[in-house]
Amino acid sequence: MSVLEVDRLTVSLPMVGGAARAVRGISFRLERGESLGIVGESGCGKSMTALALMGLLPDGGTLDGSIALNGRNLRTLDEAAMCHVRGNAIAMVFQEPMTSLNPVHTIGKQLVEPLMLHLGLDRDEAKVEAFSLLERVGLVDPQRYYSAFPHQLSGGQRQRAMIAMALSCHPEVLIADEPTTALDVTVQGQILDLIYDVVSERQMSLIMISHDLGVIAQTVDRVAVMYGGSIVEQGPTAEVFAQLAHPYTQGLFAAVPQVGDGRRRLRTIPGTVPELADLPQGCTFAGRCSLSRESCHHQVPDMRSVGPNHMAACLRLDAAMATSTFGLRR
Amino acid sequence: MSLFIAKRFATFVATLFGASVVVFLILEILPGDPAYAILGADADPSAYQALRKELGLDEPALDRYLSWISGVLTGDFGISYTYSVPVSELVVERLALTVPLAVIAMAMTVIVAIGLGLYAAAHHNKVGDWGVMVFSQLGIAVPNFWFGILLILLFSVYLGWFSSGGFPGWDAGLWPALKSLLLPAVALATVQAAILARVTRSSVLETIGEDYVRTARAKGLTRAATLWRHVLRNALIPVVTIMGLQFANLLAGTIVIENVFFLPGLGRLVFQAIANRDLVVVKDVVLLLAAMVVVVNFVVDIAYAIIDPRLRAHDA
Repeated sequence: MSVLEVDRLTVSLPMVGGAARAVRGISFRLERGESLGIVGESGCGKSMTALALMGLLPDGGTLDGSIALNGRNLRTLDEAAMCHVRGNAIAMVFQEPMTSLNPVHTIGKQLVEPLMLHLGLDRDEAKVEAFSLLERVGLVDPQRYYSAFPHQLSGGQRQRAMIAMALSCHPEVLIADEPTTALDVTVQGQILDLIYDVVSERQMSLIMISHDLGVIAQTVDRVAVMYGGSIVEQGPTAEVFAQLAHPYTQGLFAAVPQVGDGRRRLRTIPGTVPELADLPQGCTFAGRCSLSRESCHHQVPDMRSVGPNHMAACLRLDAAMATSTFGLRR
Repeated sequence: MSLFIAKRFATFVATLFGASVVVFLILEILPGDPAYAILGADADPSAYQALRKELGLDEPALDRYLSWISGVLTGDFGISYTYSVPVSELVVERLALTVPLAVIAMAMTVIVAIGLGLYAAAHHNKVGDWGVMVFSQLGIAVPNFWFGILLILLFSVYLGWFSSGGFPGWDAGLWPALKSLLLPAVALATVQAAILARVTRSSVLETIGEDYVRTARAKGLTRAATLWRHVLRNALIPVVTIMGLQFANLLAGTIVIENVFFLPGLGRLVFQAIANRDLVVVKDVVLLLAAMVVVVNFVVDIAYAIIDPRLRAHDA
């Protein structure tokens, strides 16, 4: 049984002039110890997917489809039972370490909170556990970090503290939503290594959300590419990187600047991400796709197999794969 | 920290100096002569002149100002024209009513406002929220003296639960004294609570949208626990700012409310002193009120540092 099984998950958000479907019927599985990368541009629905898994959609947001954790559908749980899942079975690391910690409480106070809540530790036991967590995430001299306030720490140190908090109750699934985007390049690698190490040493499953293909390539077993609220391509990381199937994935890879390309214009995907409240009919990428035909604007493409466990949703897959000249130079 | 206190003390002195000049000038400009107020308008001219000389009113304004201030600095606040007792005695006696009244009113304000504000924010855009907003709109619109009269009508005249005014003194026992302050405190607190409830609501709503609130929810805290442990303290900073400003309003409010309820407090003292041209009392009480406001602002600054650790570092 998969640790996490998401089936036709749809998220609708209230907007002026009707509901916007931020996530439109995505499905994926996550096995124990496996890591899945979700990659895509801002507004493609990847963060909304994460919040839906946590049961923390913005007010008025509604869900459809199912999210099963170890076979138990989370959508049938009431709020109290969901609170028991959050931070305990599924934990999350957020994008902005600068604002994701409460400025008026010490790191220690914020770290012992889930320990006391989910593991039933008393304050002293929780403190001992918090010290070992702080040491594990590389905040040696835990006494100092325990009594420090967030503003006294750097962005990297805060993200380490966030990771300590997420790990505290030994969750089965860790969701990391752009964990390094707000950090200095020099720190990004350290934080990624830390996440990767703790996930593998504790046999946790990981969902790594990023717009950065480099991050995805380094850390995950499987990758799902999202566009306009849908997963357009999904497969083992090595497979996908070896054979980019979907025109959007190809464009995304082509847009990664390469050292040694000399002075030339950076490659982009023409056009902009469509508004979620006003998505076009048919393939959501058709308006920006150089391969699109008339039919692409009317017909929603289904997922089709393009290799071992490798699938993509495009009506013109053959043409796309024939022109695929991109691969990530690693 | 010592630099912070030194700065604060300088502000304190400057504010009091400014207040003393303003109140002195206003009383100079205002028509009305204490000697006439004491003797009556058709007083014998020679008696009038003698009284003016006795009160020191024939001296130049600057001399009178300096002698007042030097008196204040040496602890001599002068003698009331109408009561013929030292102003300090009068004021201390009246403070025994006004300070408890202000404290009770402020406590009511804070408890009601934070409770309602939190409730409204937690029920944002629902019936509870609208109810609180309607209450606060009414509370802001109703003048406190009129509300005081309504309270007297309902609780004293109609229900007979409270006396309609007056103060039995603390000697009469704690409960009778407190009881007589209850309606005035409610009248004073209503407007303040209505304003503060709105501030609390909007501040809590703003804080609820912060990333760290989402983090707290992601840890598995319930909505209520998140509100209590992570939102409230962060939302308090604008609330405390308004509370500080409201304290000055509250002091001004006591002048009106003490007259509505016939309470022998500082507000009623200053009101009668103005009517009787008891200038020494007016000047001293205004100076005292200014000092209280400055002290409260100082307390507010300290409260900021207690609430928000980021503000502590600057003065270290």
